[in-house]
Amino acid sequence: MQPAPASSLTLNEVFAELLDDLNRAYWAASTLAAKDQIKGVLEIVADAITTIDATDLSTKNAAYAALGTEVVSVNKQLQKLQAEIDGLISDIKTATAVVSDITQAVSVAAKMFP
Amino acid sequence: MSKYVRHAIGCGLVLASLYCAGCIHKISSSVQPFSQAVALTATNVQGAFETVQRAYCDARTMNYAVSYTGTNGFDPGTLCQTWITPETLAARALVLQGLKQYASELSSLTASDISSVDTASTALGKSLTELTGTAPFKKVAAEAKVPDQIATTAVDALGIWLIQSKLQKELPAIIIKMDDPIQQISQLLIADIGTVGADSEHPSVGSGLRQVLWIQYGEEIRSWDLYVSKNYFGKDVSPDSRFAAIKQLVSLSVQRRAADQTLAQVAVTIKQMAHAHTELVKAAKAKQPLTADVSDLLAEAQRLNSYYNSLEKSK
Repeated sequence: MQPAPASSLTLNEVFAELLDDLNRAYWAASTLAAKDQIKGVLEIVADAITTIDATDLSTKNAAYAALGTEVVSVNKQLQKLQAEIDGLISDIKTATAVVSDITQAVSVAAKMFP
Repeated sequence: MSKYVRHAIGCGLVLASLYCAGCIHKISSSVQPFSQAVALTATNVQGAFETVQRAYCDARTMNYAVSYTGTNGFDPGTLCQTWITPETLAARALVLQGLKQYASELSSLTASDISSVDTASTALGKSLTELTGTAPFKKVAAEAKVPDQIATTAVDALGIWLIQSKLQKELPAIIIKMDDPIQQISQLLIADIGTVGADSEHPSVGSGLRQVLWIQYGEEIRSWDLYVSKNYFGKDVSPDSRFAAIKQLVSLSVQRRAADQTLAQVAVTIKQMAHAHTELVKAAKAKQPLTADVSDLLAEAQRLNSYYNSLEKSK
């Protein structure tokens, strides 16, 4: 896999972009099982955005550390979905966007929580 | 002192007080409509928050009911608190009430020379200064990404202003002095509302209450879609029932847009209120009446009312 280009987006922005592309993937999914799986990932991404919003990212406090743990866990599930997305939806453009968003999210998160 | 000198001083004092009365008269012609417009703004902003909260709560309740299995539930008491908690809603309401009271007292000052404030105003001022130390207020400021010190100082200044006694002759100076806190409180409320939908490809990118609501409504829409997909297709369901369920799906999407537009209009109205106060300051300095900006504020506040009424009807 190609390394993700350097992103100037914030963590909130990369997750929000991913959320929108995952939403597109949800509506493009051809089976109920695929919808269920994508919806599950959408929920954890939405929760992550809520936590990011509520956390002061300029202070490396306990809440920041907890966010780091949550993001690492979310990213594991995202990478799992990244590997499976082509089998869940037939819309190539959306699948490509999701794969690229996940790469970007993992890259931005890695810089914040090395 | 000769009687001529005393007479001259007396005439001077009478002329000065007449001139001052003229200044107050000019300011009062601006303050009273400003006060009415701010009262309408505060009432409608509060109404908008409550209507959006109710609409979102109805959507959540519907999904809670249809997905309830007896073992997958959670405390229904928390059902409607995911977008905005009652504590942070109350904190916002108190700040809005403070702004309303500020405008109302300015208006009272133009009518009579108040040397002491009423009990209700003192109690409200005290509540505002206490509010800034509370967790809900700090949460609102933190999520709006407004430095705690700026938010606290501004709301404290409003609270202290309500507690202090004021004199009619101090009116222009009072308005000028309160401009910074009013601007900072407005910025806090606007940042709290946040943004969404600037990028049509990625409408969820944004901030604040609009982003949270947009994302959470999205979850409700997908939950309802999955429920309809699993229970209304491949089952013995009448076409009418299926039609009603799909119509509900569309209705949720319309509601999300209406709720977001209501919040966007809240920000526009607050921005106009801050602008009207700046113009009031200019009018106080120049001793000129102010009309256009207050009319604009009234128009935005009335528009806000029509937005949340339309949201109420879209349910």
